[in-house]
Amino acid sequence: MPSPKPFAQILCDPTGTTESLFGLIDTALAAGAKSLFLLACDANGFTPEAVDTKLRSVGVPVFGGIFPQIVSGSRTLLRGTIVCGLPVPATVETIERLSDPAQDYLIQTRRLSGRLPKGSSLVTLVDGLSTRISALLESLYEALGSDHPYVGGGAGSLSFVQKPCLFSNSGLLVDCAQITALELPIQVGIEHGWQRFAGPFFVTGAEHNTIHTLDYRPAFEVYREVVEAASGRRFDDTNFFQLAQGYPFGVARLNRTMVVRDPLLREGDSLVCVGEVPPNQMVYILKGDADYLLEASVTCAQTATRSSGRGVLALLFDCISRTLFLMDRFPEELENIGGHLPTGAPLLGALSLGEIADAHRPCLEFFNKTIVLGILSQPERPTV
Amino acid sequence: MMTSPMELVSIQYALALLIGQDLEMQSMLRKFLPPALKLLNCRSGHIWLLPCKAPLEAEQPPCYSYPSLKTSLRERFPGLAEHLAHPTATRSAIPSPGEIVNADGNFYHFLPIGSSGLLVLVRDSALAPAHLQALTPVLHRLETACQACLQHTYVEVARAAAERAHKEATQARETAETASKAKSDFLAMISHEIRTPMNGIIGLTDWMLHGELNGTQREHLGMIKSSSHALMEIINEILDFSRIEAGTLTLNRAPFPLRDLFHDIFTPLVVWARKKSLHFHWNIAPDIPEALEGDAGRLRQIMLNLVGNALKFTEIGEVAVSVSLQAPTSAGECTLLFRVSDTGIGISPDKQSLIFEAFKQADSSISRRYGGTGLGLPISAHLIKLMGGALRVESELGQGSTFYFSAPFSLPQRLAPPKDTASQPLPKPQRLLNVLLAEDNAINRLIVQRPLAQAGHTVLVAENGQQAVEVWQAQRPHLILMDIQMPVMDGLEASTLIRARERSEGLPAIPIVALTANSTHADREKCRAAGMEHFISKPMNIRDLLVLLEEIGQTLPL
Repeated sequence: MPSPKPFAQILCDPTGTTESLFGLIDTALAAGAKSLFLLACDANGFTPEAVDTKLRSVGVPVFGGIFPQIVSGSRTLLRGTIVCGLPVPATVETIERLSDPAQDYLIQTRRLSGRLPKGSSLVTLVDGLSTRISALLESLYEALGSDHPYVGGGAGSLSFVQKPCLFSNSGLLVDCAQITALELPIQVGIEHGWQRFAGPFFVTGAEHNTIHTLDYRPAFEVYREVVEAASGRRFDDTNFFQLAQGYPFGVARLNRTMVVRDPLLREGDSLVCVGEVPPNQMVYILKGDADYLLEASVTCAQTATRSSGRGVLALLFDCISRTLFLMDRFPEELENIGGHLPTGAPLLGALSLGEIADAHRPCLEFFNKTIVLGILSQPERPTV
Repeated sequence: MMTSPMELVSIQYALALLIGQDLEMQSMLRKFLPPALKLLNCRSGHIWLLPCKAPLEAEQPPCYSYPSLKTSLRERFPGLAEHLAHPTATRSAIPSPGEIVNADGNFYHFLPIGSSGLLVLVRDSALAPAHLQALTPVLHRLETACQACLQHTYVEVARAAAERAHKEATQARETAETASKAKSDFLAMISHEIRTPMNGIIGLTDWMLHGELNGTQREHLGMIKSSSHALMEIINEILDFSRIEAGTLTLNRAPFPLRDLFHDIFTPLVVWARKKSLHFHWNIAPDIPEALEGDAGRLRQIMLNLVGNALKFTEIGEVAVSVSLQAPTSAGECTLLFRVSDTGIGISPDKQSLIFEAFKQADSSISRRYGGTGLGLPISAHLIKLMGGALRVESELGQGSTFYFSAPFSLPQRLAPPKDTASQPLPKPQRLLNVLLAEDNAINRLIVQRPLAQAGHTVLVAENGQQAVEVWQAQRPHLILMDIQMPVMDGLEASTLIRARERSEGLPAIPIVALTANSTHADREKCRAAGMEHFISKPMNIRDLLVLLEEIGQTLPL
């Protein structure tokens, strides 16, 4: 029996040049794509000047982002581009000014309610270095609720310099959120595998994504004491992120569950994280164990594949810091995931700055150091 | 997984600090509920507030839901709606505290917000009793915060209502003031329109009385003159009243001799009193300074009104006027007490406050019997108020009345010698002048033109300001008598133009005399600003005009 025709046309280019990007776009369009999902590596150095004209000329909806690394099957690319031509249309909406403290995102997200197809799956991408991602997601969930499943992550650069990182028909966007509705069911898995290690600590001073004080002491002072003692390394002679990536924070929730927050950089005695840290809450410092993390990838894939429909495309948003932590064992994570995917559901995705999903979780969350896997499926056709 | 007491307390602490971050209800709940749901691993939450502890109604929508309900509660959460509608749920204000219902694939947790509301938490699994217990004090705090928000809303609503009422009252007042001003402007305009022909009647009558007449003609002309003056008084009262309403009535200050002024005021009234067989006398205390500084014209008007009323309403007895020092003379100032007493009809106590109101007299029969506009006393009262005093009355019905007021006056350094023009014959001009008369009203032109011509002056005539400028340019008269309100170009504009041309052409300034019916301080200032340095008020006294011409003639170069 011949294998069924692939649902999506996935075109991969390892060179990361604009010419290759444009060529893949043209190829996908020529093959009849009704929408384009673009994933590119930060190392490509794509700029608005270089790509905006082409993006504006594309006649079908365009969405996607630039990430530290991207994933195609079992491969990760440090440089390169993936163009995924989808045979279904997409509704792409943008919310701007994602770091503006004066913005009330509920007004904007309520407008989306009438524009998005009912029950559609929302690929939710954000500029991962924006400071009000959690506020946006809170408003998005307030306006749309659990009528839609969500999957996505934070785009951007590991240089932690905010720059245009979201693809759209208007060109590359910065400090924005992009919500793309696909009229396909999706099953989502979310896992991280990080374990409690030190704490609890009370967040006695925090603002958006910056922790100022823990237990009424400078946040970095508390954090350094724990991490330096555990790692045997010192922040004075080690790059902050290299050392901190193994010791994220866990924001405590009821029943010992946690939402992970990745310390990104130090500003004086404060710690800047990927995603907001609410004040007056309890946090732990977590520690990674490669086996636990890899176990989480299996659990995640198992959850995501509980779909009743025919899986046609797997979208992965896996935190870049997991790669940095697992290093040469990271391919195992992709193998764990790939090994559970249904036949005919190719894997593509990004190693992201924060992950977004709501399945089996309270409300919509912005996660760090987490695997979010969504399997898009087509309902089984009834047999005659 | 079990939650340790430490974690539970920390969650309780975090929840407590999420409460009351705003005084606006929706905003406060929005800052509380979404993060609280995350902390408690809930998928959604719904809050009902029950004012006055009223029971929850079956289909009552929540006042806040996270996420928002896009359909009815029954459509979205049928199990929850069903439970809320169940009689056991509604027999009290809220369902049983801590009740957990498994329906629609959810666990609904019914948590009272004190005694005034309900929180329903929607979870995939049921909360442990310890968790519910930990939430109880938190929700009591939420109740207090909700009450604070409600209180704040009430205050805000009351404040908004007060602001709205204040705004409406201000608008109503402004509307009334605008209407009042429009009325006053109309009255002023009408008064002016009436005064102009009246000036003509009075002037011509005056002029004819200087001519040769038989007895009957003189008597008839005298009656015309008397009636005209009576009519002018009414018009002047209306004009004054309109100025009071418009807030434009002001006082002029100049030195004047009080005793001479009273002599001038009362001499004609003596004749009236004598005709009614009344004893009329006045007394000015000897310690009152000879000269005072104030608005003599307005004091004359007040005394004429008060004494005129006294004479009008007294049939038998006397009318007496007294002036005394109320306060000792201090540095440059004294306060005088004026009293006007009569033995007339008197005013009952309940009508005494009415007589100071415009258009009102003590009794409607009064106006029928005695006439009058009813404006005299309100105007006098207002003028006295402007002077710094207050008009009061003591009276009993049938026992006569005493009107009295006090007013401060400055003491002038010196007093200019009085001009006793009345007793002097019409002055013979020492110098004959070429006079340009700018006046649009033909009768008023005639009133001025004839006596001046008879006195030997040459009168050039212009019918508006523009003609006046042209005649001045062509004939260079000695002086100009300039009416203010004229068509085409008014007197103010014409004077300004003439002064400008004089300056540009290096010409000497021609004396310009303003002929004005409006003689307020502001009107005079406008005339001065336009370059008019002399004033003659309408209706015009021929003698005054000839005297002024004589004075100006003496200042002109030969």
